[in-house]
Amino acid sequence: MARIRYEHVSKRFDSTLVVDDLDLSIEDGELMVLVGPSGCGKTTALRMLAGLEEVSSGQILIDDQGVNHMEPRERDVAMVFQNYALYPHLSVYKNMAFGLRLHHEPKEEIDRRVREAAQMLQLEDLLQRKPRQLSGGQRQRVAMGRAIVREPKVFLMDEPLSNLDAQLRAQMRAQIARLQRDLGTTMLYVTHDQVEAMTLGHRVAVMRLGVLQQVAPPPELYARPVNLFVASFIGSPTMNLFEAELHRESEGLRVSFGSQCIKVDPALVASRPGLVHYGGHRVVLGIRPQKTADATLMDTGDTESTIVATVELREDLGSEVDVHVAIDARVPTLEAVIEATEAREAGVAGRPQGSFIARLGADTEARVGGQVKLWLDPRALHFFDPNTGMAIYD
Amino acid sequence: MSGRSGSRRLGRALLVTLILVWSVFPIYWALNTSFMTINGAETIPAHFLPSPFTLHNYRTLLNQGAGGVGYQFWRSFLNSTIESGLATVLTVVIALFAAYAFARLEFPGKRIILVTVLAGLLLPVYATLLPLFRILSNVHLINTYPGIVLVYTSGFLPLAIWIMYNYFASVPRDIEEAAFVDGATPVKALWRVMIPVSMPGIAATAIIVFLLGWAQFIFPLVLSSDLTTEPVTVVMAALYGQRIQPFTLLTAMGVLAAALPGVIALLLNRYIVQGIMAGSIK
Repeated sequence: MARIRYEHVSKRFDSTLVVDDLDLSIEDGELMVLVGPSGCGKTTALRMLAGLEEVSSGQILIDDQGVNHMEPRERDVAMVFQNYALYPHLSVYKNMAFGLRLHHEPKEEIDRRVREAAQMLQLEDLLQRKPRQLSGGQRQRVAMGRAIVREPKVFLMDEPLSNLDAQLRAQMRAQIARLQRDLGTTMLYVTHDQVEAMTLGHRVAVMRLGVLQQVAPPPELYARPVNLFVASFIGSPTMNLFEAELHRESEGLRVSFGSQCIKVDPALVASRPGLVHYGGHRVVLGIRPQKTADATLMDTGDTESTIVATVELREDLGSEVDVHVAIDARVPTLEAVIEATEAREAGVAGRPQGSFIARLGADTEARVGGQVKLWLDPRALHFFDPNTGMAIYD
Repeated sequence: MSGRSGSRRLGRALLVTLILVWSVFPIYWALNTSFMTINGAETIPAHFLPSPFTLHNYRTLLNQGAGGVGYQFWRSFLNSTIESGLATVLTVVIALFAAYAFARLEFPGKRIILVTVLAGLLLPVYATLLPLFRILSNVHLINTYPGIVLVYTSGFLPLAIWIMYNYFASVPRDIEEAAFVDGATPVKALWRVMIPVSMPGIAATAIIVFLLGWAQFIFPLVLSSDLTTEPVTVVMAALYGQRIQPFTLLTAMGVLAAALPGVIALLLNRYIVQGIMAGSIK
């Protein structure tokens, strides 16, 4: 078990800055997830901790001890690679025993630990097989087993599930979470998949272009993203974003986007005092698809939080319905939003300019081509500065 | 199957047959002749199967009387084995470390050194024959095993390094990195992971180098002066030139001399293909 600290860590490949001044602490026993689109520097950050990549500047500490100049073998970390990196010439048993043998553990001890891990991962019947005789899921488990038997200070996971199909990925995700909880070992887990990040991480660190954007527990990341990038990267379907304008009126703030206008809840303004300074200014408005409802099915008299729009597409998910409606407001074209949206499959699946996704209850009667009256939760609106992309809080 | 692809297949089959006949016929003919006496072999029209069949030529070669043709043959066969074998071991060991360094380590001048080494492949080897002869005679290594083995090794290294370099480069880096994280030093990672994983490539290199060594003629012709080091190729050529032994006996020698590399190539051609194809298949 161990505590990890990145102190102003940067990594340069030739002239490109891949990791830029990373400051991050991982507590003893914590499962920290590093998430971001490809090329954001998350894997490089992990590999620097493993000792597979040199640190250009700054310092990495494991248990308050600087490890910058330590070889990988001296750091007492275990790593699971994206492609598993099993030793193809060794049996499953020998793959798992490899590290222990190098450390000259006694034979009985090696055998005990390998069998224990094999039992934990249901690999007992496969111990004599070679990696090429295993399925993808089995290889993945062997890679996990190889890390577990080492009983290291830290587990490093480099996209360990990205080569599995969706169902297996969900299974293994649960298994990794359980293992980490049972073993209580500090874990740094790298992924590009925000669902994986949100479901696994005790805390999640979001990176973009080598820069750490935000570190927070998943609920906070979802509810209080610090900027447009985090807001559009986290959550599925992605947050609806529009160019909008705040208006100060006698009873409080209202926000208009396109031809729509809704009120901003006073409680929200109270929790985000910075909003007051944006009265009469342009902002970016964000609304999570989950924070909407079909107003005709509600008995609130809250007419100031509803909009009426034409339904373009209806997607039945069974328990819920995703309704795409046309909004005549402009979608912000900040780099950060575009990158986050492109990195997300949900975004690629098609969100045309000016389309708004509302996730409604299955009982909604919204029909394609018809009008729907949507209630937008006035306490769950997000506001961002249109120039900096930063969320407006204080 | 359309008629067009059918005729294409037929054309391909004919071409393959032609190439096969072209390359296999001389071997077949040597085999055929080696089981006949000189009278049988000179009959016209020629016999396509040995008639009368005899093992006389092979019996003569088994007769090890000092100075006899049997002794000359086996002694030179032994020389060939020793020279090719030692050159193979030395070449593979040196090429292993060189190729690993080129494939995995970063050091100044790496590209230039690699290109220079590989340029050795383009050099007409006979251009080096006389300078090598001068050097070897200066250090008194003419007509010695070390002399011949060193010359072979220097000649084979560029090819061996090239094959192994490609093989190492095709081994995923993360396998080695996994070993480092698991606690291996670079030397242990090489020994316990890289070399075992690369065994097909190493085997292929060894086989190819051995076969090359076995087929050497001009270099040992110049660098050897008698049976202490003369390989089988040189001795056979000399016997042929003397025109004392019947040519049926010489073909029996040829068959035996070709048998060892032939068996190696047949048994291990899986490795040869794998080693050369490294990188193109996963």
